[in-house]
Amino acid sequence: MIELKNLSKSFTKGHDVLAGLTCQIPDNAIYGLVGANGAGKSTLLRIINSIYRADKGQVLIDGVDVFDNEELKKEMVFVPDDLFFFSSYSLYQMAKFYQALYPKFAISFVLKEAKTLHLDINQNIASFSKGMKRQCALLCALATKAKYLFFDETFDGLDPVIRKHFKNLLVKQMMKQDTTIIMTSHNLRELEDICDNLGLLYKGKILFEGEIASLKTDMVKVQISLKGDFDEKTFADLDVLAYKKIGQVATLILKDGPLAKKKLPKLKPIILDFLPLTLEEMFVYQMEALGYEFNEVL
Amino acid sequence: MNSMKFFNFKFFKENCKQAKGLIIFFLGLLPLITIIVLIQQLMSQNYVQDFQNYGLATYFLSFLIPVALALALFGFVFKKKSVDFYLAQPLNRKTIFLTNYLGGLALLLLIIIMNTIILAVFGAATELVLPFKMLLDYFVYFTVTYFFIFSIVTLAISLAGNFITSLILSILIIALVPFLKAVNWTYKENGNQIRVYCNAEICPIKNNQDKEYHYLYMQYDLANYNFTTPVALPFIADFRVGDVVRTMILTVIYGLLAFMAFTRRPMENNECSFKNNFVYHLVKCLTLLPFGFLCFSYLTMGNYSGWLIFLVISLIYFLAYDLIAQKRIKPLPLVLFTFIISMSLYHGVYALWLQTQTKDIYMKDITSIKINYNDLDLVITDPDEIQTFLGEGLNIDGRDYYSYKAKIEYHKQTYTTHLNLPGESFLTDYQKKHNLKSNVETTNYAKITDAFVSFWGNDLKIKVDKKLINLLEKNKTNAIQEKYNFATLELYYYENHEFKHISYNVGRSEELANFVAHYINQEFLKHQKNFNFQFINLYNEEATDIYEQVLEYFISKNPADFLKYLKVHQNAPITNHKYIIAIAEDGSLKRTFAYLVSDSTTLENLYNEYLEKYANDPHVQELITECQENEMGIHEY
Repeated sequence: MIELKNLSKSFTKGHDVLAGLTCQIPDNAIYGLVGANGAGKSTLLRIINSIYRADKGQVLIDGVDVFDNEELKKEMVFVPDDLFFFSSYSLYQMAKFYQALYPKFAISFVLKEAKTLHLDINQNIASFSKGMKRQCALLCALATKAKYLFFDETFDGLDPVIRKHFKNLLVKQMMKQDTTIIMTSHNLRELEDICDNLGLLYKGKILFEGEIASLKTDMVKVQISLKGDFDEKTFADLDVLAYKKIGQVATLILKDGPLAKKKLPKLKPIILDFLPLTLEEMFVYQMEALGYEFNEVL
Repeated sequence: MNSMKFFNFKFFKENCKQAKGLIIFFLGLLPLITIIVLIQQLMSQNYVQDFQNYGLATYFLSFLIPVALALALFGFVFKKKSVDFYLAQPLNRKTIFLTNYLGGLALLLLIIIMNTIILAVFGAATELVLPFKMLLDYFVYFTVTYFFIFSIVTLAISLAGNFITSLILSILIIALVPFLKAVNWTYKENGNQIRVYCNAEICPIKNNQDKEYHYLYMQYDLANYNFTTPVALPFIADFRVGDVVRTMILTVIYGLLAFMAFTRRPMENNECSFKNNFVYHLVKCLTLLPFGFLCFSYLTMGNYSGWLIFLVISLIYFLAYDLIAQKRIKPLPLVLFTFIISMSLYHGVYALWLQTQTKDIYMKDITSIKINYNDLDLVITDPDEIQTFLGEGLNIDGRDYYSYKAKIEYHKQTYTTHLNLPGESFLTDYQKKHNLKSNVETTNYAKITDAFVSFWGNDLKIKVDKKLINLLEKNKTNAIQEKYNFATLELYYYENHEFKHISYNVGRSEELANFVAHYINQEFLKHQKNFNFQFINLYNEEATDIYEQVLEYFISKNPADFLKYLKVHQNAPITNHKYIIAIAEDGSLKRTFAYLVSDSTTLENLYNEYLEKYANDPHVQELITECQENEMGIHEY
């Protein structure tokens, strides 16, 4: 488990990028970290990977301080948003570099996947497109067989087919060995189909986090129509986060999904549909409940 | 648990791989330049040079190679992308630093070792004199220099946020002390004076109101400021063990500081100058030091317009600095404020520090004068002789005089100054009077490692063996006999980090003169296949009955007879002062060789034989007639 304990970091006086951030990231999770530009996502990843030193606080993995810990770092790999490759190096040469440092590096994986993705392993990476460079970085990262993978807006710039392919690779890896993945994005929709846990970073702290599945099952979106007149008070015994009525059809966002499924049929509705909530909608209503405007946060 | 490894060989290997172009270039560059320099020295027959001369290329490349290597290994900290990449690797900062630092030192060591080997090979295979002790001095001196500069640049990179700032910081650290030393020396060198008060009969110039005492002014040098590094700028300093040790200590200190700076470095500090504003301004103001000095110099010379112009130039520089280091211009009030404060401070410091001194000393209280003459230290302690020496220094009007560096000891203080003494014979006479021996007489010739004889434009290396050493030792106190005075042996040995040199006239001994003459002649005969006898030149030392032009003509027609004569007589002893020098050029080496014909009488016989042989040759008659008309044929020296 990754524990972030009271992390603080500032780059200029009076402006804290991280302010006492505390969080736990469970093992074998794909954790999505979302936040607006400048929220501190990249800084957090860099602190976890010992690139930056936190002003205060600690990062622990299984109770051990991560900072500058070579042994732990052999189980960690970080793919930043702005990629770096040695000039005039090919994918093969970059893979050899990683192989020299990561004891479990599987170069055969790189060679195999490069073939699948039609990447020339002997061509200078500098001549690749942005998307191809990201593929190279991802391949090298996955080939390390590290336990902890950190991706900073890495999946941006990948087309849906490639993104799906890498998602499958991630899942395969997770099935073979314990793997924890932390990825950042400012795009909720992008994270939705990959991650199983999400955290929202706002003003240097985790504002909100949890498993997506439980978030989704807890909250429910309902379209309902009853005989006769009805309004929001009709549903007073249910925890209503949002209520909207157009004509005779009301759309409700209810916090307690199971309770709603029990009680609503008893009202003998003409129409009763339980609709899927998008992640964005979930976040909107959760944060409104916490008193935040969604647009302010993201 | 954190790894305790200091060096990650795989990481170093990968670093070398990705910087291999640069490494190969440097591994090849210095040796190549050194080889070119050595070949040049060989062609110019500069066989004996101090290691500084051989190391000139090494010295100048010390401002390139270690700097570029440090940038290649540590420059990744300047860019966010590369910082992310390197620091995300499974290495801790200590390992990254120590691997790159120690690896860099190892590469520099390899470069110096390769170059030292090249020097050693040239020393062994050619006439160039490169003794082992000198090679060791070269190796130590430049290893220390390269390590020193590498450590400084590594420290600068660890502190700064971008390439320009790290360069500025490196220059500050390397050059600050030598600059201040140069300023101190340049400014005060001709300013410090001692007033030596002496009696009227010694010091005829009346300088003051006092009837009893007159004084003379003498400029004196500063006390020897020994704290310097091999990187003395702009020249290579002498090898002083103290300096080398100090530099090594400084290197270790800078290395440790670099280690601390790197491991504590906020890695978000990139693509900018310094994170800390105070440090930024401090460094910026320090770079103003040389400008401050120049402005101050103009002011003290009374050149106010020059002072103003330089002040404006300094201000423009100060403004431009922000543009270069931080790619932006700072607010003008702040810039002006820091500029004025800095310049005022520097003017004040220079005014206090760069004051010349005049010290008063009394001749009667001078305890000794030490003068180095002919590699001997003459120490004059007799008060009368001190007065004579100092007095002579005054009476130089209309006389030839030489200026000698002298150390005057007065009340346990030593003043290094220059004494003007009349002619060389003054000191030679002094030596004789006091039975002081010259360096020829006092040298232990067993120490001699190399010997050369310069004979008619060619420096020949003579093998130093027991026979030669015995000859030198046996005859060192002999007077020079004129009939054998045809050459001087230049003898060398390397001691105390420099070559000691003795000029030994072969005329001190018949045996030695013959030894050297035979050697010279053998060298001539060795190269005779490459001579073009059409261009042979002959010189008579004394009057003979040989017309040189005619004999040259004969030799060009029939060199075989001449060579046969030379071979037969190559070991003939020098019997008189009448000898002829034959000079020919070796076409392939472009060097001339000379032959000493010791017995001109026998050569005259050969000449007469030639005359008989070519009696009917009209050209011979023409030449003889021409020589007779112009009274040529006899060159007198």
